[in-house]
Amino acid sequence: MAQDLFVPGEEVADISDQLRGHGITTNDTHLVSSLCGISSQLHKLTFMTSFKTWYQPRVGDIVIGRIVSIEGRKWKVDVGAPQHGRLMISSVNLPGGELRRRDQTDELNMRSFFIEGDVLSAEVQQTNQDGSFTLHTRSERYGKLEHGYFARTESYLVKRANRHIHTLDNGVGLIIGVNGRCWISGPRPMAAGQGESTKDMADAVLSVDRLRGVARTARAIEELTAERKFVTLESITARLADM
Amino acid sequence: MSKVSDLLRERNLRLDGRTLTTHRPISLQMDTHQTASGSSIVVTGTTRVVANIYGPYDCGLNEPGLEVTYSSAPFATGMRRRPQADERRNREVADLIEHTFTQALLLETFPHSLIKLELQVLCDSGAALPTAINAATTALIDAGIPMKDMVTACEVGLIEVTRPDGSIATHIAADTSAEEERRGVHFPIAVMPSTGEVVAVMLVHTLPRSDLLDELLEVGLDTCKWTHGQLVGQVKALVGEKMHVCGMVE
Repeated sequence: MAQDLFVPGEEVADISDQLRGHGITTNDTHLVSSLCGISSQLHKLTFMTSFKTWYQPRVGDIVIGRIVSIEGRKWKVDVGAPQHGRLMISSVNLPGGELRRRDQTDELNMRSFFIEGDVLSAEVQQTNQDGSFTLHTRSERYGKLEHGYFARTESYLVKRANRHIHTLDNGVGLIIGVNGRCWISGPRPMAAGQGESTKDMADAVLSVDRLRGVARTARAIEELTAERKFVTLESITARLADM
Repeated sequence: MSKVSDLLRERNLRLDGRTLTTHRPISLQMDTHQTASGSSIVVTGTTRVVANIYGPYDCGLNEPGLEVTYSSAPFATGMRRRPQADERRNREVADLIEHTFTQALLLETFPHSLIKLELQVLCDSGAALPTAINAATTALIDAGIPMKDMVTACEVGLIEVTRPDGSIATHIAADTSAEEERRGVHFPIAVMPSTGEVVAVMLVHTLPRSDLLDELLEVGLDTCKWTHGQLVGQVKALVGEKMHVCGMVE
């Protein structure tokens, strides 16, 4: 059964005992669509689903972003959402253990952890009504990303899943950020981590096969994005098998 | 001049063979630019406008914003142009479009964010501004940015011809060509079709009689209604196919 498509300004349903959800405005008598897409109903709630949307952060999302600026006790991170994410100094793992007190020295040393332009993976910690949100990297899995390939897709092509950090069959590490940014790393599947391990990775010489694996994975993501198909572990693996 | 008057009087045709109410065909493409949030190309006859949306992204502003840039390719018309004069005119047109869409978009969804709209006229053979507005609407729909209504625009104009007895007859023509725009009054108009609310008008040149304004508006509203039908049909076909390919619609 083909579902009805609505364009902005088109009346979706009668206003009586209906709740308006995402993508719905009202006039005097009807619920009116404000997007182009299909309408869905959940009990009394009517909402619109469009093909493309901007990235709306949700708590628990694994995202990949870039540091924009350092302000006070926080970093501003661009993850492709309408607003920059905030990464508080209290939400990162500092060297010397998790339960350390954050003092002024740490604040002065912020630039030694992340500087402008650094790419990192993080998790959305909290979202607010006005669209602002905070991130955290308090896990071994998150942190600065180095010595890998930054591939861009679109957030509406990434589905939220149980796992977003993968190791492919060819040994390539892959993080599919919910915000539509991917990280492909040669030697290790995880985020590069801090301190010495980063340096180890820089020194490690990648085999030609590994490098080819990285390049092919990036190409697969690019192709899927250009064709506007969902970017998942399965679709990437299938694409790689075809290459 | 005599040729125009003869055509209109005897066969009710304009110089390009259309009747006074015939619109040139409209066609559109969506999602034309990979890296933009939303993009479209709208073609009216041979007038062609490209629209790209970037954002919404954080710009450090307190108020949500829309920023419009409008430019015309050097090869868009056959005429030599003065770049400085163009720049002023383009700024003016961009302001009008910005004003139009600030009324239609639900910008309060994105506090502190900026949406950038870039319009470029690739070929101007009449009605470039309304084509640009239609392209902007289509690109905004492609980007999935919420708006109250699908703003639709068209252009109407006056054709003045001299009768054999020397008096002047005034005809109102829908969707003016470049030739007709050069000859006299033309009147781009943008409306929100579901309410019929007029969101932007611009009168170029001076009207010979003020009562013509009502007639111009009337023809303009009719033409906008037709244009809206064309846009809706094509947008639905394109978006439907895209959602079908992705498995979002059965």
